[in-house]
Amino acid sequence: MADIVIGIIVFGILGTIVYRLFKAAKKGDNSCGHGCNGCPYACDGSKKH
Amino acid sequence: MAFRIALAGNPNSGKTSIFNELTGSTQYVGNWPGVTVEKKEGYLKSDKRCMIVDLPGIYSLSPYTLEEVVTRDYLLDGKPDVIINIVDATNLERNLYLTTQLMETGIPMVLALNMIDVVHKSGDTIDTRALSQSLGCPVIETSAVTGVGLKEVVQKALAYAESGNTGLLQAGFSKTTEKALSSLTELIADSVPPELLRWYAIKLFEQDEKVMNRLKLPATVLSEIQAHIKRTETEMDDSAESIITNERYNHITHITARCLVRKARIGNTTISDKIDRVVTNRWLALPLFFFAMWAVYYVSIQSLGDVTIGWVEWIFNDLIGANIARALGSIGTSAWLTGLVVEGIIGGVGAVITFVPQMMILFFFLALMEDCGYMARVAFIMDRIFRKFGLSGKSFIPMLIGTGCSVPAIMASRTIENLRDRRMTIMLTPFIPCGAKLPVFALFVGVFFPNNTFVGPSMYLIGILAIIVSGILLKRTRLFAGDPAPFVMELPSYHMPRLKGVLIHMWDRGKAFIKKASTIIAVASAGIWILQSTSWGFQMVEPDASILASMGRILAPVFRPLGFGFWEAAVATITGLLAKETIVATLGILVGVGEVTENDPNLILRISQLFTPLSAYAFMIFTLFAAPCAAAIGATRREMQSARWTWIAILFQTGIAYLAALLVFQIGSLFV
Repeated sequence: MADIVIGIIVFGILGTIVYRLFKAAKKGDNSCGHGCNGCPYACDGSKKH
Repeated sequence: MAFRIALAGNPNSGKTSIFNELTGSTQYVGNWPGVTVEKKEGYLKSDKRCMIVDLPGIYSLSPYTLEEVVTRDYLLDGKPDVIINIVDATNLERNLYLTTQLMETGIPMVLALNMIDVVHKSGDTIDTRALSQSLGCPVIETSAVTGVGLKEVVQKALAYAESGNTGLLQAGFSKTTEKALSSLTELIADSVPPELLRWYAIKLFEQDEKVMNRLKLPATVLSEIQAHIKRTETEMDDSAESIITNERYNHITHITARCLVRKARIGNTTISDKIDRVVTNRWLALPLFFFAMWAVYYVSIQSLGDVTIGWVEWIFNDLIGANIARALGSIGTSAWLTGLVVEGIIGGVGAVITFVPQMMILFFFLALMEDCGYMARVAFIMDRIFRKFGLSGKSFIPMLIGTGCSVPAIMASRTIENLRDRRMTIMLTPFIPCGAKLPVFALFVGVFFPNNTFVGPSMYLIGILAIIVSGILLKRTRLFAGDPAPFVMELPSYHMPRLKGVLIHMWDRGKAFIKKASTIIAVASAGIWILQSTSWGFQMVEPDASILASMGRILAPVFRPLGFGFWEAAVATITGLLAKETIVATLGILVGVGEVTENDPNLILRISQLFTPLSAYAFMIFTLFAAPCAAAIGATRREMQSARWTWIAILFQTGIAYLAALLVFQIGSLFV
């Protein structure tokens, strides 16, 4: 039972991260794939701040 | 949306600082020209309906580089409701050159006389009322550093946007020029919007090729335009472009004579000049730069940075890891799931997060060096050296940015007009160690060279050396042959670094790093842990019998001549393509100690069994030069606009990495 609950939580979080990374990459929101604040030019023109 | 406000001005006049103040953004602010290469959009803090657009800095509306085209195109086609022209008040005459051109676009304008605090400090005075009368637009004294005048400038801009007031007093030219412009205006009256008629007429008179192509005028009209230009040139005995430039400056001189009073000075030497005599001295410049970089790396990695490791280690080892393991155990979670969470995810992420303080210290010092104006001098020093080897100093600006992240550095290569030089810069920029490579170096320096203060900084120096050697080699090939592009750069005056800006810069880097660790690296760590603890038959096994080990063993022989021909290093090299920090996370998981810190005796023991000091150094060299992470490869693809050139870049970088690591290990083996 513990394995099922913890497994759902862990893989749920990992799955959400992967989904968000792919979604962001597809939208072209951030070119470096990880937060554009640290990368002064990494956001493409369409990115709104 | 209520209004769109465009921030336009010369490079390094403080546009992004004002943009950050007005929108609450934390966009990167650099103390050298050309920091902004793309327009940035944000919403006014006090009125979210108003959009502020930060445009790349330009000297005139006759663009030569890609980012200058971005600004001009936005002003002409984006049609902002009002322009806030940011003028560097310490350099009024030169900045007004662009102002006179912006006034011709027919867009309402407010002038922000920025850096006014510096002007006051120098003892000069600017009569803003006289300036406002001369230009026909409001002139507000501002200081992006202190925030003086920013509220007022926005209020004026919004009022002007609302009223559409364009009562600007445009630059008047001589009778002969005005006559020609009037003829040109008649010829193109049907082809351009009425508010831009004069602007287009002047650009056509200057024979601006981009404007000519844009208008696509009939051949008969073009020949008539040429006839008018020729006639005026003959009459005034000068080229059309020079005529406009000279007459603009005459107009500006007339304005500044009315409103600018300079304090009488004995001699012309400023403090900045005195400092420059030392730091840009032919013989002292390079040793000083190398000393500065050595000191920054030494403090960040080996002295101050080293102290911080224990704290993060405690948080991840004792606080998070141990407690979660205990909690999972108490509720009866199986060993493999506990292993995945504690050794895989927390171990992998912790391995990378451990180096965050070191990285933030490094970025603090780099931001200090940049903000005070020193890094701009470094570009100037490097131009002198690069030029001898066929590279332009312009290539060094992206490389300076590359100390943070290769992605923006690759994008910053847009400031280079020459396509061959731009391609070469994109290929060579990742040779400068980015922040993501720092944990790799910090780990190996901590384990193998704890008492050697030169190994860490040597990565930076070897990176620069490799750029020079590669530049020489590439320039000899047909693909890159040709003279380097001329490099003209305005050196900003030295000033005391602004703590707020420096801290923002440091925090941004740290935040991005933590975000990356908690997303992409967390997923990668979980994947690596699963692969290193599972066999092809999906049974839990020791790492040596795992899927990852068998995959790594296929690749390992390739690295044998480099001294690290074992599967763990091969796997780490490949996972590094995802993000360079993943190399540390991978090693952290594979050595099976959870959190990797350079002081952990288990890690030292295990890593010492895998690597020797020589093979560790070869591994660092390989990491330094090998193909960058996926995000940087993506940026390369976009900026090169060619799959072929992207592959050339990847193969070149990996080839150089292999060759350099091979030389280090093989030659080193002769002595060790």
